[in-house]
Amino acid sequence: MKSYLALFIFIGSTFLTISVKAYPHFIGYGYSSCITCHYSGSGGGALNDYGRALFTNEIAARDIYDDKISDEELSARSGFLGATPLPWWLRPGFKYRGLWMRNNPGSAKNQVDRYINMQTDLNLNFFFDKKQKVTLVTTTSYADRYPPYPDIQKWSTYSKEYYLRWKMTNTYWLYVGQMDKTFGIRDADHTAVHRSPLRLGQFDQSLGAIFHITYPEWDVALNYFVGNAKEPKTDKQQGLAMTGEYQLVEKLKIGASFLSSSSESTAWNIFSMHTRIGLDKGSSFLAEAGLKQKKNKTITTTDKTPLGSYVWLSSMVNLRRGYNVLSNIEFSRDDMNKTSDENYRWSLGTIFFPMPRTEVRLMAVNGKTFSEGGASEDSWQLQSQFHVSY
Amino acid sequence: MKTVGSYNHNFTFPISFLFFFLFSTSAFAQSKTYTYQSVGISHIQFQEDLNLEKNISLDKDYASLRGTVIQFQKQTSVQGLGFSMGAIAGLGRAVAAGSGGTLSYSGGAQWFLLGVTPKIYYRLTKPISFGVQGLAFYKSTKWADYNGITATSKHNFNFAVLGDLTMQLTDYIEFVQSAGSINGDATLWKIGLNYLF
Repeated sequence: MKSYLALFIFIGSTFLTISVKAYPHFIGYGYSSCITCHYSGSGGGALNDYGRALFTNEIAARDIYDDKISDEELSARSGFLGATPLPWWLRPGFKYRGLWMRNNPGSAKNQVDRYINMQTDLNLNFFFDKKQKVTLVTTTSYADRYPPYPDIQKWSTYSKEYYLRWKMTNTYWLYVGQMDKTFGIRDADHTAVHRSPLRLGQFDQSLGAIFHITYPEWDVALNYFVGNAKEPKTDKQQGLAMTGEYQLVEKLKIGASFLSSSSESTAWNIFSMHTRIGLDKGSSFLAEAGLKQKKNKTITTTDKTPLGSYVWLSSMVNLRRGYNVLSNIEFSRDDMNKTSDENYRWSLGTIFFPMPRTEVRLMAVNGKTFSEGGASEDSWQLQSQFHVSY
Repeated sequence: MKTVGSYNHNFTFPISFLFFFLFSTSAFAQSKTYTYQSVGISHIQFQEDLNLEKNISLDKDYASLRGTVIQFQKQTSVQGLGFSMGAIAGLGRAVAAGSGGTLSYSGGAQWFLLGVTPKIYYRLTKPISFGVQGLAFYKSTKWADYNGITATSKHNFNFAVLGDLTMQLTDYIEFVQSAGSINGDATLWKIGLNYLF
C-alpha cells in the first residue's frame, strides 16, 4: 500500500511541481524566530541545516517511508546530497516554484490558463569558519521569460541575492550585501497585498545593510538600503526600514514595521503592525495591517499624497502531519480619505508537504471590488503550485 | 487555552435533544454538554440582483453590498460536535453595477438586515472548528430613482449557506471566517471577531 502511495506522490511531485521553505506560520509548531531555520534573520531564502532537518522530521508527511525509519534518520538525509556529508565550508541549495493558474474558470470567453516558473534558484552558501560566524550567502536565479529588470535577459541566469552575514555575538548580527528588505511578515505569497504591491516582493532585494538584535523574547532589525543592483537608476529606492517583534507569551508575537524610501520618481512611506499566533500544533493565525503612502515625484500637485491601507489575514490549520488548510484574506485601498476602490481577495485551499523537499498547493481565489463608481463582477482564479527544494 | 462558559449536565438547551437522537450511544448521551454565548462583529459582503423598471420597460442589474453586522450566538457542544443559534443585525452600503441592457441605472443606497444564523460545527482541536452555517435574513434597501428608473432588490428575504472556520485566538476572542452562496447565485463573505462569555 505504501509503495503505491509513494509512487503516487512521486509522480504527483514530478509532474505537478511546488517549493518548500520555512514559513512564518510555523509558529504553530513553536518556531517563532526566522533565524532558527534560515541563514537570514529576517526570514526567506535558503534554509540552514537545522531548518532542513526540522522540515523533514516535523513538517513534511512521512507516509512514503517505512515506520522502521526514524525521524532522526530522515533528518540525517535532509542535506543537499542526502546523507552524504558536505565540506563544512559549503552548503548548496536548490529551489523551484511553479504556478499553474486558470483565470475566470468556467467562462467560455475569458478563461485563460497560464503556467509560470516563479522561482528557479541555486543557493551557494560559504562559511569562513566552522562556527559559521562569517557566512557568504549567494543565490543565482534563472530569469525565464519574465525577467524582473530590463538589465536581465530572458532565459539567462543572474545574481539575485548575495550578502555577508557576520554573527558578532549570539545577540548581534550584521548583514551586508543585496538581500530582502526587512519589513512585516515575510510570507511566501509574493503577490499578497503586503508584499509586491509595496515593493517587498520576490524580486525586490536591495543592496544595503541590516543590523539585527535578537533576544529570546524580542528582536529588532534595522535596514539601510540603496536599491537593487539590476534595476534602472531612476527606480532605485533608497531608504530605511525597521521591524521588531515581541513575544507576549509562548506562541504569541506582536510586531511593528516602518519603511521610508525614495527614488527619482517615487517615494514610499509604510507603517504596519502584525501578530503571529500559534494555536495548536501546526496551526496558526497571522495578521498584518498597515498604512501606505506612495508619492509620484514626477507630478507637481498641491494635493496631499493619498494615504492608503491594507490588511492581510492568514490562517493555517494542520489536519495531520504534512497536510494543512490555508486561508488568506486580503484588503487594500489606495486612499482612505477619498472615495476609492476597496479591493478584497480571499484565497482558500490546501498546502501539503507530502514528503520531504516538496510542497503542493491547491487554491481557489475569489476577488471582490467595492467601488462607489459601480459594482463589478467577482473575479475567480484556480491555482496550483508545486515546489521542490534541495 | 482556558475554556469559556459553563458545563450543563441537564440537557436544558434544546439542541442537546437533537444530539441525543442523532447520536444515541450511551457514551454520547452521558457526555458533558458545554454551552457558552458570544457577541461579535463582522464584515459582510455579497452581491444581489436588481429589478429595473421605467414605464413599461423592464430590465435587470446587479449590485455589490458590503457592511457591518453584529451578532449574538448561543453555542452548545458535545464531544466535539456543536450547534449554535444566533441573531444577526447589520447595515451597510450597496452600489449598482449599471450593467442593464435597455435601462442604465446608476446609484448607491444604504441597507439594513435582520436575521438568524444557525450553525453546526466539528471541533477539530480545542481552538479550531469547521462548520456549516445558515444565514436567513430580511434586508431592506432604499434605492433612489435614477432618470425615472426604479430599482428594487430581487430578494428581500435572503438565504445563504456558508462554510465556516473558527479559530479561538485567546481565552475570550475567536476569529470567524465564513464564505458560501447566497440565494444560489452569488458568493457571500462574513469575516469577524466574537467575544466569548
